[in-house]
Amino acid sequence: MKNVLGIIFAFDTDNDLRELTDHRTVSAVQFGGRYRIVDFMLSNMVNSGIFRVGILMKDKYQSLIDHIGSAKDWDMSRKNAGVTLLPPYSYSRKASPLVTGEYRGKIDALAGAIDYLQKNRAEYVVIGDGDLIANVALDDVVEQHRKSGNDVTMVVSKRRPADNQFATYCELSRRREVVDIRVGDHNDGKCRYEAMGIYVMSRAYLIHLIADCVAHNCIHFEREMLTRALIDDKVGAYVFNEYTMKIFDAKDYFQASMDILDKDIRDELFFRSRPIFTRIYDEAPAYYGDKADVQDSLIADGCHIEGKVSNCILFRDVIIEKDAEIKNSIIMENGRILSGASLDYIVADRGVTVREGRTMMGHENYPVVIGKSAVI
Amino acid sequence: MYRKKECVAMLLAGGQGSRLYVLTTKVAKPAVPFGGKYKIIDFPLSNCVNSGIDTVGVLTQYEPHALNSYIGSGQTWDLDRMRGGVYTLPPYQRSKGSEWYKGTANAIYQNINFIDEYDPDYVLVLSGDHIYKMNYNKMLQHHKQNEADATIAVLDVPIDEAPRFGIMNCNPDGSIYEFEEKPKHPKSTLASMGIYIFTWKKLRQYLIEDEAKEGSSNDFGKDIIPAMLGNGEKLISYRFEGYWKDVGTIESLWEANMDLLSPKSGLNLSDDTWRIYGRNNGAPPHFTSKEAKVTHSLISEGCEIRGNVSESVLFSDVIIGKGATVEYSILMPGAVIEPGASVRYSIVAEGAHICEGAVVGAAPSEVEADAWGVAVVASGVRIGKGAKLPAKEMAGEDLPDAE
Repeated sequence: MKNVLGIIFAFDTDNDLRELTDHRTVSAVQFGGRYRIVDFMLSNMVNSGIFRVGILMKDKYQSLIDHIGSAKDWDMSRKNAGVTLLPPYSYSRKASPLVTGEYRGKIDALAGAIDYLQKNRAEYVVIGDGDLIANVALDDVVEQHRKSGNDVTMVVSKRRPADNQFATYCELSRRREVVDIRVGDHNDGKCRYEAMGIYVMSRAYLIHLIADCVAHNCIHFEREMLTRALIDDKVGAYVFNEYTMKIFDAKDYFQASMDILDKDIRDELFFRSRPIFTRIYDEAPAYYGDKADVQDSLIADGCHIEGKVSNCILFRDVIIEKDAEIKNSIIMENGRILSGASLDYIVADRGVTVREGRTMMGHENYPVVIGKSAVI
Repeated sequence: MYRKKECVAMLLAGGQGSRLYVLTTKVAKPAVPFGGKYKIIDFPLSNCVNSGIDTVGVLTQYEPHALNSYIGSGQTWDLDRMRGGVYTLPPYQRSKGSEWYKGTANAIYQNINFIDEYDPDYVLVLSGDHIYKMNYNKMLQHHKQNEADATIAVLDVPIDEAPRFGIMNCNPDGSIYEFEEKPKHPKSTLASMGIYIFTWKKLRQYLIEDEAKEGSSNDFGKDIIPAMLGNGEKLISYRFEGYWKDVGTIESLWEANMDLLSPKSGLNLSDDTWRIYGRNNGAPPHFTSKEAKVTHSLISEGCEIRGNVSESVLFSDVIIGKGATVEYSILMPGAVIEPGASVRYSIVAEGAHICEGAVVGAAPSEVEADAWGVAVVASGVRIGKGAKLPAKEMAGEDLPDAE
């Protein structure tokens, strides 16, 4: 799809993952044993033939920049395309007269990169949130949009019935036209679908919407920009039926992590003909010792396991010593769980050490998050 | 563009590796998987880049497709360079006719132009069938300090194994006075590792002379080294200490993989300062289910394990069904072991499928001593339901379901 441009929002608006987002945005948070959350949206674009992608950033973005590098590992280190990182203050006032400085939200971010959008020659733009875990065939979405004649097509899902103050809900007509969009309110169940944060529109229409919103000082993408489109023009929906999870808080993160311990969900997310790409680290395979006892867990390369592990996700290079016992936990890179330690419902950020004999416990509803490089 | 390099590496990767039998019917030996996520060639290539040698010619001849596509642009080893990088060099047609690589020396001879392009002072000659980690730069410094014409890496081997190797007889100062190929009564225990550094000017001249010589086998060990010794050139040995293993046979390939399971074997794959690079297929982390029991094994990404695994090396995307048993085995990428199957003391190649209830291989204690050996299932082969593949046997074709 040469004539499609991808845009990813890689900064946080309403999300908060406690200690995990102290040093990075949700997009850059580790997920699934070897990925970062943004890998899903970026891979969706690559797998759909979108090789020109702009990533909008606002703050705490060093972690993301380190992760993406030259974008080689996504096959996006291209001569005539590839990833463009778009932090605030990217353009001069002349090039980008609408907004140049700090962003108040997604509309400002798009307005700040208006020069990038104007210079591009793509006919369509796919805008995606970097905090979404889903494997979506975006080429299908663009195809449906092209045929429908709608001004905007948004990808929605019926899977999640939850009541989330930050989620965007919408009501569809029988012909899958969007008739109502609400943020944080599903109108007593009338809005049966949740927006996944993927929007397709023509580049010209997006530029028109941005100019219109800036002129009226609108800030909120879902509340204001989408509503303007809904009132004035035609908004359609693409209903996505496979696994999807938007990560707003630590509970969502924990839930999505535990979800992928299920084989069916894993198959939906890591569909082999549409792989999820990530940065390659060249670790040796995982090593299981004589006393290793591992059940229902995902284990990345480079791990060294001598203890007991059940219902866990271990990122690369995690060491679980003899007689350590961890359950229902997520241990990120370089975690060291020493002999006799015991963990339950814990999310340990990178480089955490839990010393001999220490015990920590959270609960399914409130997994305890241990900050980066902490020693317990 | 000026492209001078101090040292260019030439990696001999054209051999079939016929003693690996069914494992090399479709790929050359250097492309055979090793150690859970690597191929044999990853070791010399990673050694090169870790030693600061960024220009490598890979000489291919036998079944080159898998190797060519594996090497690609060289990005995996950080060898996609503007100047230098990795090149595959198959035999090619020239104005005076064309021929296959006749021997190891002839392969280099046919690529004199490639080497000349970099105007190197030294050429490192490597082979693609050994597993080891080595800093070639240290060997190069040794070569330079001794102002040698050729430096040969040697390993001290047990005296009873010496007759299997090319033995270097050295003076106390490390200079070589005699080379004996597989001597019955070895005078020394210093075995050649098949790693040579030559001063390019000298080697170039010997290659041209050797090519002109009628009846020469155009081989480094048989022709070039003896000729240099005969002319009194300065040949010195470079002692290597550490893990080194020739994986040219089924047994040695199996053993070398098993060595990885013992932390004291000497080959540390998780050493940050000397990483071994290999192409990554981007599979998710491996999953071990609650029915599974995994001990003393190496497991790679993408595996789904529901059976019992011990003392084994599993490459990426291997699937092991409920109640299946895998012991002392090597399962290459994408192998499928169905529920209830038993695989012991075996090598199961890429994409092979072991059906329900099949029995592959056996423990040494279960069979007569001379009947034991590692069982091998070739790439893509299906071992039918309840079928049996005894120890030491090789399945190059599908085995039907048992009656």
